[in-house]
Amino acid sequence: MTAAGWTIMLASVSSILVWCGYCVYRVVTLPEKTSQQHLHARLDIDTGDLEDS
Amino acid sequence: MAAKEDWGSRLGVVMAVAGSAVGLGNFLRFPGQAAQHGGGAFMLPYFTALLLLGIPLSWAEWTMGRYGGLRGFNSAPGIFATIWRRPIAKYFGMPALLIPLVIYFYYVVIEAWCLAYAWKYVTGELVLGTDSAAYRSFFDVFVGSTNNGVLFTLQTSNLLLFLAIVFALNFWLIYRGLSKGIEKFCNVALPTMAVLAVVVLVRVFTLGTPNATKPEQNLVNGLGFMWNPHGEALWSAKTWIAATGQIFFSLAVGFGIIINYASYLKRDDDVVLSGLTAAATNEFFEVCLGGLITLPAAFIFLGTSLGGLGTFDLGFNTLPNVFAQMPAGRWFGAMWFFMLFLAAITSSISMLQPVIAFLEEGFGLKRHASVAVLGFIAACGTAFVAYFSKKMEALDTLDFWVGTVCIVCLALFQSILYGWILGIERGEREAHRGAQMRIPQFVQWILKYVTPVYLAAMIGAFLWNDAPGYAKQVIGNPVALASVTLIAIVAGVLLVLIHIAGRRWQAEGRDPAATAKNGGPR
Repeated sequence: MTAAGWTIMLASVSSILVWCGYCVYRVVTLPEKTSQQHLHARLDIDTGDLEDS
Repeated sequence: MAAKEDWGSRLGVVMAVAGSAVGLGNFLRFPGQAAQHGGGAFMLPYFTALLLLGIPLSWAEWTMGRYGGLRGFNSAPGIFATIWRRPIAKYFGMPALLIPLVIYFYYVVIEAWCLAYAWKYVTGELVLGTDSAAYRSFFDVFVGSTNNGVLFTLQTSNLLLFLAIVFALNFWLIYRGLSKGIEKFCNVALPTMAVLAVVVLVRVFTLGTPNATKPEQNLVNGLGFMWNPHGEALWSAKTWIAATGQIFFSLAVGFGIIINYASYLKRDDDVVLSGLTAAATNEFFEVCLGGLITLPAAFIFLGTSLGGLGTFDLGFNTLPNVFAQMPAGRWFGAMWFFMLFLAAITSSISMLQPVIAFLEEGFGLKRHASVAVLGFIAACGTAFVAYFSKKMEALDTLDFWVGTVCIVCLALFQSILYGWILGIERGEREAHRGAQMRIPQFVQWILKYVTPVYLAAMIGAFLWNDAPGYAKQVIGNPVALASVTLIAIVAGVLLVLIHIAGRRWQAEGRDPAATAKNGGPR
C-alpha cells in the first residue's frame, strides 16, 4: 500500500468517523420534545394562509 | 381528518432515513465503483459530489417534505402541489411514487437472495469448497439466471419461498405503521447491522497472510487494492459521473423517500441536523465498513484475480469463495449475508411508504386497504422480475431506467422546485425552523444554481451520448422491451391515480392550487 493510499484511507475514514460521531452525539444529547409541548403548539395542519407559510 | 402519523423520536426518524439509505450499495457497489474508477482517487469526486449535491439535496428534500407535511400532505404529488401551487404540480410527483415502487419490484428479490444465502450458510448448503466456478454455478441456478420462468417450476431453486417470506415481512412492517413498524424495526436493525459488520471487519483485519505460499496477498495489500490512488482516473468524466451516481444511490436522494419520511415531522422538529446525521450514518456504513471489508477480504484470498467488481459478482460469487477459505467462514458468511439482508429490508420498507401515503391521502383508504392494494401491485411487479430471471435482464433494465435515469430526473425537478419555486430565501427560513444547526449560506446558492445545472448537464450528456444506444438495446430485446413497457404502464396508472386524487382533494377543498386561487400564497 502506498503512502498516498494510506493517507487517503485514513483521512476518509477518520473524517467520516468524526463527522458521524459528532452528529450522533448532538442528536442523542438533545432533549426530546414532550407531547405536552406539542399539544400547546400551533396546529399541525397549516392552511397556508399564515404570514410565515 | 384521520389522525396524522408521526415519528416516535428524533433518533427514530434519523435511523429510519439512514436505514433507507444504507443498503447493498454501501457494501457491494461502493467498493466496486471505487476500485474501477481510480481507487483512492475516486474519493475526490466522491466527496465533491457528497458536499455539492448529496447533502444539499438531502437538506432540500427534508425541508420540502416537512413543509408539505405541515400542510396536510405526505405524498410527493400533494407535497409538490403545496410548494408549486399549480394544478400541474401534482403530476410531477409521479416519479417520486414510480421510483420507489419499481425499485421495490426487484430490490425485494435481491433481498430474498441475501436471506437465502444467510440461511444456506447456517445449514451448510453454501459450503462448496474453494472452486470459484461452483459459487457462480450455484448463484446462476439459485436466481434462475439460466432461463426465464425456471424459478416458478420450483425444481432447481427455492428462491420463491424466501421471496414470499421477505415480501410478507415487508408488508407486515408497513402495516404496523410508521412508528410501530418502520421506526421500531430500524432502531433494532441499524445497530445490529453495525455490530455484525464490525465483527466481520475485525475478522478481516486479523486475517494477516492466510496463504503462506502467496505472501503478497495480505491485509495491507488488500487495503492498497482498494485505496491506492490512480490519479489518471480523475481526468475521465466517467469517474465523476460514477461518483455522482454512487452518492445519489447511496444517500437515497431523488428516490421520493426522504421527502415522504420528512413529511411526518412536526412543525418545529429539526431537519438540518437530522438530515446531516442520516447522511453521516450512511457514509459510516459505506466508507468505514464497506470500504474496509469487501475488497480487502476478497484480495487477501483471491489476489488480483478476484474476478468481476460488479455488485452481484462481488457479493454473490466472489465473497462466498472468500468465506469458504476463511477460518469459521461459514458463520462469518451467515453473519455477512444476514447483515446485507437487514441493510436491504430497511431500504425496501422505505420504498413502500411513499405509495402507501399516497393511497391513504389520495383515496381515503385505511391502512389495511392501502396495504392490500399496494401488495397486489408490488406482487405483480415482483413476479415479473422473478419470472424474467434469465441473465437478470428484467432486473437490469428496471434498475437502469428507473434506479438510475429516473432518479437523476427527479433530483433535477426537486432542485428546481426548491431553488426556484419555493425559493432559497423561503427554503432557508423553512429549513432553519427548529433547526439545531445552521446550513451555510453558500449551500442555498449551490442548490439554486450549481445542482440544477450539474444534473441537467448529466441528463443532457446521457440523452446525447447514450440514450440512442440504450433505446436500440431495448427495442432489440423482448424482455427489456417488456420491462420498459411495465415501467410505462405503472407510470400511466400512477398519473391516472394522481388525477383522481387531485379531483378528490378539490372536492374536499384541500387542493393547494385552489388555495392559491383563493388568495393564499404561491
